[in-house]
Amino acid sequence: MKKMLLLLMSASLLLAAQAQNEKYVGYMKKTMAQLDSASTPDAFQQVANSFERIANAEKSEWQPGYYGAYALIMKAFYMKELKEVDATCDKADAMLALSESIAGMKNSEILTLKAMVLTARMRVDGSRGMTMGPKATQLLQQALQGQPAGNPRAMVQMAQMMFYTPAAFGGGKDIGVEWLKKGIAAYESFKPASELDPTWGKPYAEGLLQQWTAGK
Amino acid sequence: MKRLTLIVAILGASLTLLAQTTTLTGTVLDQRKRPISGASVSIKDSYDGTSTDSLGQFRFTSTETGNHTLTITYTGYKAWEQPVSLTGAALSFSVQLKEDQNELTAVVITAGSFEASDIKRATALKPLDIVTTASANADVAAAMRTLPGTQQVGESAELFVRGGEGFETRQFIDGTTVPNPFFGQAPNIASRGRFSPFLFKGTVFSTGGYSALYGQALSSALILESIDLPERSAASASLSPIFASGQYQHLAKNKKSSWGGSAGYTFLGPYFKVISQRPDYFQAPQIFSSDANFRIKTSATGMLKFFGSYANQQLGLRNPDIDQAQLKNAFSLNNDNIYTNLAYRERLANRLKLQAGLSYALNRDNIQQAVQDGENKPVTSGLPWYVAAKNFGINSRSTLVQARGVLEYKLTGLSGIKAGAEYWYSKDKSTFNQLTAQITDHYSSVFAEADVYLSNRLAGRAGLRAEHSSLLNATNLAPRASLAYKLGGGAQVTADYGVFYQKPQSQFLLLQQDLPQMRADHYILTYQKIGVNQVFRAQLFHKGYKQLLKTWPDTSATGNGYARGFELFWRDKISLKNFDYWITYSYLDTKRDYLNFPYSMQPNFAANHTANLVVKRFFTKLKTQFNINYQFATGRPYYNLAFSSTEQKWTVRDEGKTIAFNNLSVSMNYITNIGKAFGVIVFSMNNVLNSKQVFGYNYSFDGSNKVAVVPPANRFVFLGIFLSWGTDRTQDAINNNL
Repeated sequence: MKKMLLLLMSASLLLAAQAQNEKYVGYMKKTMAQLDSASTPDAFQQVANSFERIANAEKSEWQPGYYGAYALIMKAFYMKELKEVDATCDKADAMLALSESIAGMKNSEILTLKAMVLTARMRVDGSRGMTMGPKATQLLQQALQGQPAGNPRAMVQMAQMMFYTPAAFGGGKDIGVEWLKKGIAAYESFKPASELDPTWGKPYAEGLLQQWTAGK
Repeated sequence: MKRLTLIVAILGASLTLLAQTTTLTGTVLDQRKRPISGASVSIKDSYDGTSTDSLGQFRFTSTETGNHTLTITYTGYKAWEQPVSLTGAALSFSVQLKEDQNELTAVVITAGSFEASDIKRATALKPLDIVTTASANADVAAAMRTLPGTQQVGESAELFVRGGEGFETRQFIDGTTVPNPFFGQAPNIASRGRFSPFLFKGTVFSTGGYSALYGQALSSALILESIDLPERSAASASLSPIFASGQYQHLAKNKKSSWGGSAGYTFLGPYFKVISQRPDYFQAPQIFSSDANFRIKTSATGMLKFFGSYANQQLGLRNPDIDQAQLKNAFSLNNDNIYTNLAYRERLANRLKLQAGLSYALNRDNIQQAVQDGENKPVTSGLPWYVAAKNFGINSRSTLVQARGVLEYKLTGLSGIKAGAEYWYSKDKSTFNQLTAQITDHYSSVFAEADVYLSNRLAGRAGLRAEHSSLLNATNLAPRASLAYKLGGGAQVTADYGVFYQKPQSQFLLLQQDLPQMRADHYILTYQKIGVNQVFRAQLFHKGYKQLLKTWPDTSATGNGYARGFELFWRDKISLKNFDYWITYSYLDTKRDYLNFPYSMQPNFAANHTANLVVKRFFTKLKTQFNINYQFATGRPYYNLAFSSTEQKWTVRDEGKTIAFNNLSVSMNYITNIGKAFGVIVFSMNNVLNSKQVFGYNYSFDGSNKVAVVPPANRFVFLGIFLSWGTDRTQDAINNNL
């Protein structure tokens, strides 16, 4: 009987854990779908709020903070009020810091988003490119080193960095296009470590390539 | 087994029973009862929650039960929390969020100053702006001359602010003062600042009412903050027909320390051969300069920085003697200057920060002037006394050692207290012909300042500075106060008041020491509106001078004066696509009775109206930035003061106003790659329109000969190339990855 009770207890514990994990995955998938369909600053804010709630409840998962930050970065890119860009980016950085404290400093996906935050901040003042551009490039480099199998999102970011950096500063359109092609190829072979790991960005990259190479 | 199924069944049933739902609804408003949309509403540590809609309303259901916390957050506001008991009964909330005090949204106390850094967002001038201001030629002070409150005094490199003389503006690097920020100057020919703008990450230019942390400047403070660790190791070089220099910065692999240095040589000889100068230079200006630095990150929050520089400068020129046409005055200058600064900062405890600095500075001048004949042979005899007096030699040496410490304690929000002390040891020795005089001063001061944020809209600052000079045997108390109120929409008004003391200049103290400090009282009212890429500022000021130095009938501190006026500043980076421009206008009404003035007069460095237009645009296709700067000032007064032996006093023998000052400058920065180096080619020219510029007049002893003070050449043209090589191979690495 004793053995039975023990078995029962551990089974229910396991069951509870299983249920919790299913709940987490379910919520994440639902919110990720909302993120995919979001297209306005308000919608991105709502999705970010949802991810933040999950992040606060699940203190051992790095993905909720990651996606929350991603939603805020998208908001920062879409919002019209430039004076609020920095505050939104500050929040995104805070969520990334939380995510990084769980996933470790070398998470390639998080490093990529950190570079994207800087790109978003450059919207406020073009002259920030002088200092923030090289920092973003450095972060993307670390992101690429952190994932030897190839992180397509880091490559596409690098492509955009290079495309809009004047050749005189070591960038250029041709280098940008090369990186973009490399990124698109990497999407083909990219396999996420779990079903909640990031896979976004392929259609955008393909659209970008069309746009950049149109008329050539 | 049966029992087991039963248990499982009960367990399952109880689980379903637990799944009661509670509906939570509510409205979220800001302090002015406007709805906040997009705020996050959640049951803490659960997934349950939602975001507010455009009316600030929310509604969600929760399956949690028992006691929990409801949290509402939104960027820029303080988080709101309340315990809730979830029982299945509907709950309703009406919430007002309080604005969070942060540096971005809060009212700014130092509205009177122009801050320039990459970090603070509400800035007027950034370090890069200094380099690309057409008239400035990468000189920090010259760039500040495009801001309101400054005068166009073309014959000096110093900053003349709001009716103040050049020495009334003091420069500080990391808290310690720089006694000789400019290279030595020949009479009426402007020199340049000693320090490159690239040494600094932040600049605060206060044209009045500055903080109690700084002293010994009657009018203005230019506060420079040196850069921390460089981004990467790099070598750089610059080359132009007038100078060549090289620099190296090494960043340690662990990115916790760096060292570097530079050396440069400037010689204007060849340039003066091509572009003729009015004075006859027998020694064209020549400067050898060098500096060294190290920076160590001593902990996560600690930083130790050293900067030291040495420069030697020589120049010699001849001008016609104003009294006797066949004679000339040959002036020569040999200057040595050392400046060193050791700065340390650390967070000592959670809310407590320390900033400390040590500095040593030495300046040595050897100035010789000789009266010469047509063959450039010295003439020492047979001259009337007022011409013979132009044969002289000055040897001077001044040392300044400073130590300074400031503790900063953060209270709640942005409020905080700063308190500190500083000590300056100065020794000045000067030999004029055969006469030697020497003075030593122990100057010490203690100061404290409190910033109090009463709300996000209202803030005040109160400061007090006590100073003592052993040489003057004088103790002074200088109170400072500011009050700032935010109007909304990025606009705010600020009122500043302050008392400022400064010791008389050492050339007077060498002769007489029982003098009090000079005093200026500032009253400033500022309105400013700051957007992301637009800044508007209007300022009204009054400055009263007391205890200024009079040199006649006796050397005494009975001089006085005033300066008042208003200033406008507008900078816009978005309205015209790709353009960045700013416009300034300054009105100044000032008079003073000091030195040998017979009565209160408008000093000869003060113009009533001054205006500036600065325009910049980068053309991406041409990889070139074009910069234009137009400076205008109405004429300045000039006087011929002569001692009347019949009346036994100084009289105004002649007076007038110079023609208006016009200066159009252009510069171009072309960005390119040369081999593995990143390069910038700079071309600049001032006074493109070849406008006649007159800074004042000199008079012969008898007043019969009146000679205009004009620049040594109508135009200054500069062409140079600046190259840098990064040695961390970032770029190579990127390209190799392809």
